[in-house]
Amino acid sequence: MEIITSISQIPKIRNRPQRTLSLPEFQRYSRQLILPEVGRPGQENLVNSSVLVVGCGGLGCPVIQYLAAAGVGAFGLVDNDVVDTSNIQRQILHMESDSGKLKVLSAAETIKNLNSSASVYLFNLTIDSSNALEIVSQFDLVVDCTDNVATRYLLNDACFLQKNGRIPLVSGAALRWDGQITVYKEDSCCYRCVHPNPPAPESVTNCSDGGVIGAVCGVVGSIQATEALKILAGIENSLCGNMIIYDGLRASTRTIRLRPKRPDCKLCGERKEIKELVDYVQFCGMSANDKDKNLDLLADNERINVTDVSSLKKQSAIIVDVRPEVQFKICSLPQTFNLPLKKIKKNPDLLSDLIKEQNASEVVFLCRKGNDSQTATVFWKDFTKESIKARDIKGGLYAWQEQIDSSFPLY
Amino acid sequence: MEVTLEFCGGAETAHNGGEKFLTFKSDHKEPKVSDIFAQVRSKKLIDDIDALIESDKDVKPGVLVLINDADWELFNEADYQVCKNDRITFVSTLHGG
Ligand SMILES: [Zn+2]
Repeated sequence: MEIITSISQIPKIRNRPQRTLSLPEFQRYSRQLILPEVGRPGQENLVNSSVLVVGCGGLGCPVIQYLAAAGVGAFGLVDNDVVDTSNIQRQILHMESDSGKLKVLSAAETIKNLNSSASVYLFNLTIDSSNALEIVSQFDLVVDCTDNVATRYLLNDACFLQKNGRIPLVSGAALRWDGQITVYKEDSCCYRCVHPNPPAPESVTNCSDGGVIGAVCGVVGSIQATEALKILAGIENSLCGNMIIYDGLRASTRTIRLRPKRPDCKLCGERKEIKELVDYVQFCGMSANDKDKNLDLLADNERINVTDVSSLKKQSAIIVDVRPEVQFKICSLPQTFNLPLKKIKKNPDLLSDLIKEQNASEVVFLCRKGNDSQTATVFWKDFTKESIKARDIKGGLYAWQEQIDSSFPLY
Repeated sequence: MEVTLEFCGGAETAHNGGEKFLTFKSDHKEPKVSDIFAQVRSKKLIDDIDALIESDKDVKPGVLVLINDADWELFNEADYQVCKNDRITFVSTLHGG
């Protein structure tokens, strides 16, 4: 297993010499082999096929696992991240002992244990407009298991702009209890037809902030794997043109009909304005990962360090923890008040009343990592026209745990 | 005419912090979707309307509108004439994984 870190190392993967099934494989794949839609031709297509899975996280893991078990011949795995303890809740190919290991490597080891005949190519890099066309061109199919908008546009465009014809793209997404899955291929609409403009960055919630149920990722990934398997085996039925919407909380699934190709789509429409890959991070105004952004909205004198918090209270300042209520109930500092940022923005009087009630002359905002607390400070200064002193606690509860109290729980 | 709006894929958070449905009586006898958007907006029937609707004719990027489980682009989008018992759904599209 070779780890590919740059474009110069990309091997020829697609269109390798075809092989027939080996004797043990008849038995191994018998349960799917006897399905009339698969049969021997379908299984031979699978063992000769190649798939690129972009993202080895919550969606990528079940996709890789099921496709490897089903006998797909070659895998390209793309991820530039390492396994973190908080991944294991949903990223089921990574074990406790994999903590700190490259995700592509951890996933590849599981594949190899599961199906030693599979070829695995590890792309430990950030897929972007400098390499995507070439990486994608080596595979029969791409499965989008990414965690960010920029890479979704990138994969859409890279699959469409192939010299030798459009490469099918199986797209899945999950957040909280919800999942969405669709397939873009042949003459169907593309991701840009459905999303001509990227969403505003502040309207996009990532799994780290919004949370996600591991099994919901499993549902989405399993549906993606099913769609991928059909395409690779050469089965015509497809989700293409439709989208499955899964709501795990209400235990409901529905399939909606998507629009046809938009004539004014910049990529696949009549004018085909986009002829090559663009800068997707710039286009989306968002980075190509779902890592927490570190905001820097405030001047130094508008912030206090966690080490100075103890000296605060004597000066009639109140600490307002702006995390959502559910997070405040997980853990909180004593003598802090919980008023979620969303509530403050919607109804600032709640905070005015609290300040009056406590007879405070200063308000200090606190959150998990020190981003929302800055946003709250800026909002409050603006709202009060700076009539009340407002600051934020730099680094939030993460800094508190690191510098003051190592027994404080982090999540 | 009675109209029911539905919220899914996380669009629920725009309506009373997570309610799935909103039912109200339309001001029009035969409303178009744009009339419904206008009414929702002027009467503040959805608390975080700005998260979903851009104008009476359009939604925010990342939001899909369904009419009876089909993309409104398959109909007339905001000019679609709403019929009795039609189900109009806002879907927030997801991007995480
Ligand atoms: Zn398109």
